[in-house]
Amino acid sequence: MGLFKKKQSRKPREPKKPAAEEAAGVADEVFTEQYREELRAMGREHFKKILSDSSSDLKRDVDVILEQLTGTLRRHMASQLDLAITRVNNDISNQLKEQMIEYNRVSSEAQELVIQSLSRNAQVVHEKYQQMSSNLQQVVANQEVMMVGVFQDNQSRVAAVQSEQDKALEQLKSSIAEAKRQSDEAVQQLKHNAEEQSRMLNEIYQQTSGSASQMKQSQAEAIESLQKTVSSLQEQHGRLQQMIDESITKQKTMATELINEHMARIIEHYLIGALGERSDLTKDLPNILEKMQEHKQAMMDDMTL
Amino acid sequence: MSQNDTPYILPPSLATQRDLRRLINEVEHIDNALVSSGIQQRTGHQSDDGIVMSNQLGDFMAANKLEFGDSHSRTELIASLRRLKDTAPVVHVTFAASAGHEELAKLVDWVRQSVHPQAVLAIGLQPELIGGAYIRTTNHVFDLSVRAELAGGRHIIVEELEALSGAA
Repeated sequence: MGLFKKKQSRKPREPKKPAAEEAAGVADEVFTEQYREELRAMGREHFKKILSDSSSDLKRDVDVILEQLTGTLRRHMASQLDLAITRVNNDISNQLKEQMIEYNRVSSEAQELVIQSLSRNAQVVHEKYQQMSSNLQQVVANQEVMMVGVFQDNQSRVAAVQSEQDKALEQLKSSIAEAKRQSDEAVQQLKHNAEEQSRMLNEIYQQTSGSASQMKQSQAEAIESLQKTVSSLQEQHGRLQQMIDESITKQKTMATELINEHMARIIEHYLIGALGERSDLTKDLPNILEKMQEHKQAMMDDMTL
Repeated sequence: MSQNDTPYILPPSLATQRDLRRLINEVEHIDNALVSSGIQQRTGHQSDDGIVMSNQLGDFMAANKLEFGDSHSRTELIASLRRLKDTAPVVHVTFAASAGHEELAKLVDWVRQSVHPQAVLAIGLQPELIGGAYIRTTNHVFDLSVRAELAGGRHIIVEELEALSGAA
């Protein structure tokens, strides 16, 4: 009876709905408008977050790429600049080398010339020195020969007057002494002269060497002035050439202009001379009337004034 | 309307100023002849010659429907023609070759239809024009000659020469 009571206390069963309808009803009860709105808000927030994260990532990537590009560009520009500087340096060094080679060549040529001139001068001086020394030797030899002759003369006198007395001997001795003294003086004089001449020769040599250095300097100056003259001549030549070219061009232009200006008149005169008497008014009249038609209004205005 | 104010119709045969002067002379001659003939008739003499009109006068009289009436009308006609000769606009036309009657008639017909009905021509000859015409009105000049066209085309020669020199 208790079971039956329990059964009786139950509410009357409602008819069973299908499962889909039931699920739909549950869904409707759960997914109300407010809930949906909240879901939408959550979705929007989530998408905003995703978008902001994506944009920040993108921005970061773009910054990184820009930095890389900037670095690459800088490196490329630096390499290009280095290449250009290297090229310019090479050009300048090549030009300097060429200039130095030229300078060395010119200076070596100038030095050779100076050396040649110095050697010629030295040779001349040496020849003069030799000549003077040979002259001096000859003079000394002559003096010696003379002195020997004098001495021999004195000896012969002594031998000739040996028989004479002591006075003659003393006189002879004194004359010998005197001659000796004179010879000594002459030798000294000769030595002095030789020294003097050697000193003079040294002075001459020094002067010559000094003049050689002066000559070298003057030759360098002469070479420099010649180079300047050559460069100025070359410049003048270039200017003259330019002037000649310009005058030729101008004359050509003038001739062309004259021809252009007068050719039309020449042809016109030719046509007038050739066709001047061949005009046929019968054939020309329609053309004339046609042209007059174009100026008809101007003629009418002129006639009515 | 009196004959003084009548704008006369000039026939194509009356093209130039010279034609107009000739016309006036002819009318005067006829007037004199008619007056002499009248006097002779009154005095019992017969006149010797009849009136002979030129084609130009005949065309003019026919175009304007005129007759040689009494002396007064003839006098007025002569006066009108003289006034016309003094006031008619003149178009000076110079050709490269001599103009025949037909050409002049066509030209003056065009001028009278297009420009002024009583215009007359003054014809000149200048072979240097080569062709065409050189027209001069009171205040204007119209150079329609071949010479002017050649002068206007000079730049073509200059351009051709420049092109040749550039190509060279």
